[in-house]
Amino acid sequence: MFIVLALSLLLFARTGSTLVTQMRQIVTDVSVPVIFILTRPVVLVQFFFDEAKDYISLIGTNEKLRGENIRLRSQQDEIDYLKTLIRDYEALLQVQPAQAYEFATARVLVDTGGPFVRTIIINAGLNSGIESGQAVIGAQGLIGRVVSVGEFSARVLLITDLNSRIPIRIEPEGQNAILAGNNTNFPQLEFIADEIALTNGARIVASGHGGQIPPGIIIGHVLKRRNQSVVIVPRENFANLNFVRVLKYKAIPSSLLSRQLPNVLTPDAGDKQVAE
Amino acid sequence: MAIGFRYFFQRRRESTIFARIVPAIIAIICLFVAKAPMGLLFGVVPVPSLLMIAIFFWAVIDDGRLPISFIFCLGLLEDFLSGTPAGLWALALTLLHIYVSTQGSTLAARSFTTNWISFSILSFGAYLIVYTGVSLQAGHFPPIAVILVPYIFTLIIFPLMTRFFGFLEYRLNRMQVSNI
Repeated sequence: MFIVLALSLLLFARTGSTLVTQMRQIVTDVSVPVIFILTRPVVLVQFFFDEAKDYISLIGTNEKLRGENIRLRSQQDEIDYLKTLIRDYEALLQVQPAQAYEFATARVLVDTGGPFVRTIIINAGLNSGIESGQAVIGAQGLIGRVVSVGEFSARVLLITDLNSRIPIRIEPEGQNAILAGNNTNFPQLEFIADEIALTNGARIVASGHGGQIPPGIIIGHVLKRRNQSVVIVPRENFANLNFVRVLKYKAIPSSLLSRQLPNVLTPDAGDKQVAE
Repeated sequence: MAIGFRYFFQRRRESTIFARIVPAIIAIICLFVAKAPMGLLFGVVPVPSLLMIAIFFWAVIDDGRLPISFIFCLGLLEDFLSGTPAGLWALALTLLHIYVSTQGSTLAARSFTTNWISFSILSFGAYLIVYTGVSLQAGHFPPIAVILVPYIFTLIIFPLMTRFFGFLEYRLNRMQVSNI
């Protein structure tokens, strides 16, 4: 009987009913505080383990950071000069400035990072103004986007998940492609116009197509393997996600969206046609 | 193992409410602990499926401890929390429970190694069901390695976890005996 019930549920979920999504979110909202308390000891052990590892590698890391600091300082002047140049060019060309956006910081409560689905649950939901589709970034780059929102929690689909598809741009070539997760730590590139032109280490940033993820957000870099397959090494370390930021970004403000609808799509136009 | 499946199977008694509650709580903890936000356990290994080990253990020694309705609910909870299609883990865990409980007396009479091998086959079957379901939903199959690593780690940790569950079961038996 339970096997039939499970199979029926699977078929029912395939119909795309929102009931399953709502139930999932309610269960998540209720379970998250319990999981948070239960997993604290495990997380604490993990924390001390990480601290010990950091302590052991302290001298090496310090040496590396000193070198990096010297290199970055030498680049700072050049960056400042280029910033001024871009601002001047944008003013000359009357470029529409990118839409400013706010963000909400949230804590990662649950990592469902099993072998099948790569999602995390964060402690911000409708109460923090989170909406489905919003981009989520970690300390170093894009990690995914919100796929379902409850009152107090939200589920984030990571870029490594099998169902994740992110429109990206490869720099400096400027090629557009789709970043497709494959449940490994190295997502793949799909729909690349010229795969041969790709170079190892080329930057992968969000293209902004689709209007949900702000353009230019760093995702990772290209890694060409010996068998010529192309994968992406994400900038973010998914094993150490503690806090994330949810970007409340809208490429076009909703007020403008409604104004820009073609006449045939406005409700009034439909009524007029019926009347005629 | 000093005290194995056979020992507990021979000493099983009618499951009291308390004897049912403890394995149920342990199973829920096994499910929840795997959801700790760590990505990789201590940055090295993927989190194993402790829940499958718990279900196997109690299905062999006494399937009344974790009833099938409870296993189904656990599977559904795992589906809801992990984001897999609703009913998929429920199906895999229910099938695992049904098969093991029907073979309970046979498995309990066998050596620990035989049980370990049986678990390795059955847990791989359960993993494969979920892997196929998730892949069919996504429209393409990820590398099989994504399930092999946690699967192997689940097998490695099996002796340790069954020893722990055995200890709990031993204490439960002692308490029941003293109550009589």
